[in-house]
Amino acid sequence: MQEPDDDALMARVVARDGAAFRILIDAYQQRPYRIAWRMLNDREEAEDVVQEALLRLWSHATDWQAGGPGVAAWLARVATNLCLDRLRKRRFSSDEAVPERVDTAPLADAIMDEEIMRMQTIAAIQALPERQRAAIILTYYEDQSNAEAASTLDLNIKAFESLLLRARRALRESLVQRGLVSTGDLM
Amino acid sequence: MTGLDPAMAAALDSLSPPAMSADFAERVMAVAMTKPALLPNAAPRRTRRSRWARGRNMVFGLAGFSLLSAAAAASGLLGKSVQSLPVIAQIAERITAAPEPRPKPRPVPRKTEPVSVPEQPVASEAEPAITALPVERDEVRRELIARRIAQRIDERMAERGAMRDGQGRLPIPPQMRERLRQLSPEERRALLERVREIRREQAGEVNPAQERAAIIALAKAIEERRAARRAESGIPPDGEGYWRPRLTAQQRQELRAALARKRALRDQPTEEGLQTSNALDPPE
Repeated sequence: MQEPDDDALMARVVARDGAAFRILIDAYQQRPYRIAWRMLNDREEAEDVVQEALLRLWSHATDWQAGGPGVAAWLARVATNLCLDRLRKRRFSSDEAVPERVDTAPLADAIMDEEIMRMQTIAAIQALPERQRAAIILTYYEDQSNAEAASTLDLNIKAFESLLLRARRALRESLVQRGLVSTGDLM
Repeated sequence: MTGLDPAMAAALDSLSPPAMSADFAERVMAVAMTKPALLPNAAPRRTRRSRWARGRNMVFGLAGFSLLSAAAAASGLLGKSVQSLPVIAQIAERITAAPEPRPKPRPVPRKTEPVSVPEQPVASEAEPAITALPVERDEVRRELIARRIAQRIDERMAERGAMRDGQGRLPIPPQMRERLRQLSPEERRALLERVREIRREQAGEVNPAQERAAIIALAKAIEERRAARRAESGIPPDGEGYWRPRLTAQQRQELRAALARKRALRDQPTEEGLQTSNALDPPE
């Protein structure tokens, strides 16, 4: 799919062109949604985050600066920060750990094994601190470079590399604890 | 992503998000259409004037605080000030002046050296009473001492005048007279010369020989300085080649006449001043 011309579309959005905004939604809604879902592990909440990011784009269209990194990067950045805000609020509003969602419905063995592995992975990622979680999601799932991810998290490159190193180490330990990865698999 | 082993990557790959709601885009569009259009650059207004106004307020506030502090210090609210603030102190004194005069503090007697009591009482109308403030009392005391010294000098002069003979000479004490008799003629002559010299100095006269020697030394010094200056500036010692092209005929004539006058002055006889009369008779 050919990416649209962000600057031209944003110029139309400034003129309150709904069709242009709809093009931007269809083109860029998936990326912030993936980030939000992996960060929050909740579809409804992830959609709320994406909706809020898109509405900010609509409301602050007059501040758009042409020639920047593009709408996709902007939405990823806003969605990541919104997720971090929500995770902080969760942490301060409740002392309980994030519950692991266990599906009790009867399933076939293969599906059940796959679902168990998925849930354990989710639990391992959810066990990471917020910023480490964001570092893993942005670099692994969204294929962002260290520089792009550092810019998204508003960090300098050295600080982000340090954060990513700690995140990988913590994730590995978490996966080993959950039996998803054995110590012999580690390189 | 680099840095993850395959087992970890396989675990992470199992984490795929569910599909979004089918009507997500419509919902976002519906909410967006209800939002009013924003004015461009609707940032909170912070003009340059407000920033200047804040700085101006700070400056005025600081100046006002300084003036109040200085006024409080000058009026003595903060205790006794180390230095007096000239203008502010005057203003504060004028403002805070009470209708009733303050009781003056008792003057602390200053520690002074003991004054010697005069043997003879001085006329009371000439001496001001030492009852004023300490500073004035010191001045009165100094004036009193100066008057007593002048009085002593006058008394001594009067005593010496009474002792002089008809020619105005003081009498020679008997012990001194005996010692003079014992002097040899050479010693007596040298003593007489010294006495004459002292009298000449007292009368404002000058020894001609000494005066001439001093003039000659001064002339030599001037000549040496002039020669050194000529040597520095490249002028030949006689000045012929240097001055001649620059002088007119009249100037050369005047210069010659001046040199002749100088020569005549230099050749004047100088021994006449050395013949001095012997006015002082040797003491008997």
